[in-house]
Amino acid sequence: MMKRTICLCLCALLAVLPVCGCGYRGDARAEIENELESARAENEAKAEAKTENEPKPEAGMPEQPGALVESDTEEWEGAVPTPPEKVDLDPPKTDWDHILSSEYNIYDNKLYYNLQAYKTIPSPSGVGNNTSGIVMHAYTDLATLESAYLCPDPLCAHDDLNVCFYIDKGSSSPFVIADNRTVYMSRMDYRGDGGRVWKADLTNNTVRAVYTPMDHDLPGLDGPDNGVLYIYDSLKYTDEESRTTKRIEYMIGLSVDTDKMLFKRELPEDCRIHLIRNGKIWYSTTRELIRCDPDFGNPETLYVFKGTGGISAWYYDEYRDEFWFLVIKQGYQSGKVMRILSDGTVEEVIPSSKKLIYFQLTNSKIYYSVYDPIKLGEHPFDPNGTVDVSGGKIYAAEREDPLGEARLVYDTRGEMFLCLPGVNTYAVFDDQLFFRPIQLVDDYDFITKKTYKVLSIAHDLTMYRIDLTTGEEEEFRFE
Amino acid sequence: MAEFKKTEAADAMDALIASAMPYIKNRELEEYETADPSVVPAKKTVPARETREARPLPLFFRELSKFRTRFNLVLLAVLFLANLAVAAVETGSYWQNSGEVRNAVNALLYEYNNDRAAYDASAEDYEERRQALFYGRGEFENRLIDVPGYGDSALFRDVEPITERSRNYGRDIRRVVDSAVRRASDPDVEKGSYVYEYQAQLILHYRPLQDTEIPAEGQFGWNEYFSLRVPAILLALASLAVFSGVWLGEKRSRIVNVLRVSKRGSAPLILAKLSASALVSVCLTLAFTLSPLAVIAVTRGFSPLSMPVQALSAFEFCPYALTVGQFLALTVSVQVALFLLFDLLVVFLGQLLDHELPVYGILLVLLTAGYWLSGRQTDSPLYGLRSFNFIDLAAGDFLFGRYRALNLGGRLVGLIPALIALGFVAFALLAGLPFAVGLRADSYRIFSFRLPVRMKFPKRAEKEIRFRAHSLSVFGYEMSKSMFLPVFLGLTLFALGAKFFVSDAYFKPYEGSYWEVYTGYMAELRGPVTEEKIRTIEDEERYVSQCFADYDLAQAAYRDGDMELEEFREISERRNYADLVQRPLERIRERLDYLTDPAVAEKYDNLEFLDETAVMRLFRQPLDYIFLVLLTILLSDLFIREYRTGFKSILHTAKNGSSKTWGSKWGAAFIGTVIIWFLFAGVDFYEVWKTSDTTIFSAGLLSIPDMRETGLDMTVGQYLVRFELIRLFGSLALCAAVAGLSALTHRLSAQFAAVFAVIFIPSLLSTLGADRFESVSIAELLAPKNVSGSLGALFGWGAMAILLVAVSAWTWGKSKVRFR
Repeated sequence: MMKRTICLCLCALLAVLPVCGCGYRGDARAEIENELESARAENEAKAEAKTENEPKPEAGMPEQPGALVESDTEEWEGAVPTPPEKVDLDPPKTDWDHILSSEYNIYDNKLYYNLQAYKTIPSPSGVGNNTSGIVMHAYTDLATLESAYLCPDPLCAHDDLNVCFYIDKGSSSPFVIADNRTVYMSRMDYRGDGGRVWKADLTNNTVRAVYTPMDHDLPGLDGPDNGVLYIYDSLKYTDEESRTTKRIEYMIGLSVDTDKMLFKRELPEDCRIHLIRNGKIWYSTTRELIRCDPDFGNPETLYVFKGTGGISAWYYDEYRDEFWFLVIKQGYQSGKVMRILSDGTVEEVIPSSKKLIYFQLTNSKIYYSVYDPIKLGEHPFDPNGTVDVSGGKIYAAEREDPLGEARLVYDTRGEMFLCLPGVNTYAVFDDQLFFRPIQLVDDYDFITKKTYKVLSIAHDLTMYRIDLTTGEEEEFRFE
Repeated sequence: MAEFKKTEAADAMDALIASAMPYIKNRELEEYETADPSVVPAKKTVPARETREARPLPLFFRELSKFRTRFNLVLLAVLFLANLAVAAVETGSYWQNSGEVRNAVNALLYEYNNDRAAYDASAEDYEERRQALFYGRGEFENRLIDVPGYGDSALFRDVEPITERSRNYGRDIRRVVDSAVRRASDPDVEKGSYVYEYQAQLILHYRPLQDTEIPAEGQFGWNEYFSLRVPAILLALASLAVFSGVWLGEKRSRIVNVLRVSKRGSAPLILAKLSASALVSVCLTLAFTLSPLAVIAVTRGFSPLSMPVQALSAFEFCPYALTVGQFLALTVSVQVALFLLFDLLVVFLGQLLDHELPVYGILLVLLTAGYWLSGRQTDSPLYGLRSFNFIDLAAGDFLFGRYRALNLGGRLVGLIPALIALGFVAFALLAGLPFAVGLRADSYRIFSFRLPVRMKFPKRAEKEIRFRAHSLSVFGYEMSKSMFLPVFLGLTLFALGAKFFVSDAYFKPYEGSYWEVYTGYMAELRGPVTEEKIRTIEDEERYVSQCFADYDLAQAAYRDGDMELEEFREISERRNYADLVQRPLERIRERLDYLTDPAVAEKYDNLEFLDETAVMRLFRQPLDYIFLVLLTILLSDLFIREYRTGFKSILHTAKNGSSKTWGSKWGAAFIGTVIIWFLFAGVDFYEVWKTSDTTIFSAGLLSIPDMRETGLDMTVGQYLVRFELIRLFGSLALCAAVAGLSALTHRLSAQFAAVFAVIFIPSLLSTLGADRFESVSIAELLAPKNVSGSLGALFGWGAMAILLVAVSAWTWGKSKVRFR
């Protein structure tokens, strides 16, 4: 018996040896660690240098209104929280610091975006392959200008929904960044028919579902703000007789720490939330732009819409508590930029006579394109034909003097197509222009039985970067 | 005291042996009694020839010789030939011209290496010819090579990846390393976290490879060899059949108690059995994994072993600087080690469970769990364990195709070290546990369930016993034995429950408002295409575009104060409706365009609007393994039962024992199969009925665009009847195969091995994507993809069923139980 026990112990000891071997760090490993350490220091230095070179907020800037500190989430159970006390925000260190946008997603100097492609991927059922439009989550580090997929495995082929979680079927797949290590994604499940909210841990490369929407459609996401992820879900009630659908929208708060639902409340009628920040909710109804408390109390009507159209792009300067937005009407010929100051004062920054179709706000500049159409061909539905409305031109003006002299910073000269309002946009960060290419493609119309040229987002997983100072172009083509 | 007991026990055993010896003619007992203990320790001196011949074989060689049974030899020969045949089928498309193909590939690559302009011209010429064919501008003509099964397209398909890898390998590896450096040096990635460690390991493994030169040289045979998955499956089957019975010879011969008291009957015997099993396992693994090399050498030929393994397309990201030869050696070593563990597990389970059936059952569950594990997706908590599934590991190359690591609660552990550690633990357990379990005393009774004394029901008084006036007919007895045994009924109920559970998940309707609206539309439009329905669709389309247009106007009016909230709300709700129905309506429009397409409408009748989701799921249903396993278990013992119990000899002399019993058995088997088929089909129909509109069965089949390829002008119901009749025929063919093999094999182990070989392996292979096995698999009948494409399988399996029934009649009439 003793012999057997000793034998088994020896075998177990032998078995543990390879595991111990895992911890062995040879010279090569030590060298790599040193290299990574220095690369890490270099990256930090680059980010630091970038920060130092960026324009500092000017003297006389309005005092920042503060941001929320962590609240005791337990108090929020079943109700929307009241605004917690405020803390100071550091002045912006980069040109894009503290600026939140409807057009892009930046967290900690990283620009996050979706790329699109057509790919042949194994069917989720495991039988055969499907060719379909897919979305890939990716990012560019604005300090180092390096781009990568969100999927942290360099060996991943990103072509199998069962293996790579950072691709999704379809054309949109909203995701928000919690802290560069945690991402919340709204995407379909593997059968492709039920939306879920998923939490991905980029440090450990794991994912799990944290919310299943009430009607199984893709929910919207916002935040996280003060440890709360905001999920927008809805229920639809259709009356077949009158052919009407009543939508009841809900806002659900999910704790980022515990992934538990903190509250769920019905949204006011005709409410489209833009932003929840600094203890305020910014939302639009058909008629008005409203700012209110987190419980929808104390609503302030800040802007009243007239005629057609609506908000096309908005930016919130968190440091200065300013809300900038582009109001664009049908036909793209009367776009104007408005600004709402922290005290609720509304200013017209760029008048409609300028005919803006898109703009981007940074801490020092405004970049914009104006209605300057180039006709590219006939269109089956649009009497104006297929048109590149921006004319491929980007202008820049000083933020403090937006009506001053505007500089043409980039012109595609008809070689590529830049901007398709409401579909795809560009963004400039520190003189680096980023945009996803738009291409002119053939579209067959079954009614007129004709083929037309139309503009469409290029389905080739590509992001362009153009250095506006040197003219250097780089194409991030993901494979 | 201990000695006294030992002596007493030994005396008792001696008495037992003495009493048993007249009745037991046992070769094994003789062997153990005559085995000389002094033979095992190494004898330095070689005895004289006569002495050596006279001496009994050492225990190890005795154990080794036991593997040389007729059953094992036949089974292994069949599986081995199957292994070679599969390799030949998979790679033999142009075997007669493999030399020419190699020459053509080498010539084109020579051009690529030495005269790039000529190569580019050839590639351009090929592309032009391909484009011309694609756009219908002419015929494609092979100019570089034109042999049966291989032409210019195949040539460029082979050569282009080689040239591309030769050019881009360094770039691809640098990308991986750069990406890993970038991610690991990202200040947001915590040092020591899983992702950091993973990137560090990638740099460590791949950086040394980035300067590796990949020659643009012909690759022959290796890609095909390493992609073969069949040898591992056949090997697993062979292992199950060969090693599950290692201990059963002694147990069935009832000499375990003798062995327990004999001098070398315990530890030395166990050691000898384990050593012999290990040796056989290694030999079997080598034979099964290496034998396809001989076939592929003929069908394709091989490129040199000295080529870097990264030159092979599947192993571009192999993290080790290995030649193909070294990679082959490593892969085979992994398979040898893995199957050694697998075989020792089979041996141990056989020792523990005393019968092959539970061993098969447990290992079937383990293998199924492995297959299930291999399908775990990234959101599954078990995703981390996916790398441990037997299916992938048994292929050998899985570990070396790319770097793999496990995430154990945020800590990185390399998959290879983890597997080595687990392998050692498993080896220690599998080598140690047989000694710990030892030889358990044979109780000389069969297992039976006994109620505790207190729970026993009071015996019925004698007066209550009534003699039955009528006994069951032969058929009735057979029916009750074959189908209505409580254990079989329980098993059938359990399988039905599982089937219901699986079907419920499979037929679960799609979720989301898109599908809700689409099914609503289809319910409304259900039936033939009429002018009224076309108008309804057009009206709905107009309504949707009107809603969008109205909303824009209403929005302006409301904002400008020209419209009240109530009215605007109504228009907003209309626009919500338009938003909701827009995409499903587009799908409805597509269906309408299809149904009114003259190419379809003029050729086929009864074209109707219908929601085919559920019925298409039925038609596309994968092979039902629950049904397959259930029938196999129920029918495998049909004839074997009589041989196993020795009752066959009695039946042989009985009046109704031959043809009537034979007929009754087959009758019971077929009727039982039909009943079970009805139950299983009933579950499917219930699910279809629950989730679909049953009136669609009267509609024309071609109402379903996915069925256009069938070209059948019939109703959905007629197609369904045909489909189910094929499935019923397939079930009867399955019944005939299993029961027929039961009549032929006489032993359950042989029966299961045969059923695996004939039914399960082709089905598994076709499920795993080996298309060539579809036509010979029973899956072609039990889960037909197209009712008109199953004719070959119908005739093939029909002929086989008739043959097996006929042969079973012959064997039943001839054979008797052999007393050994």
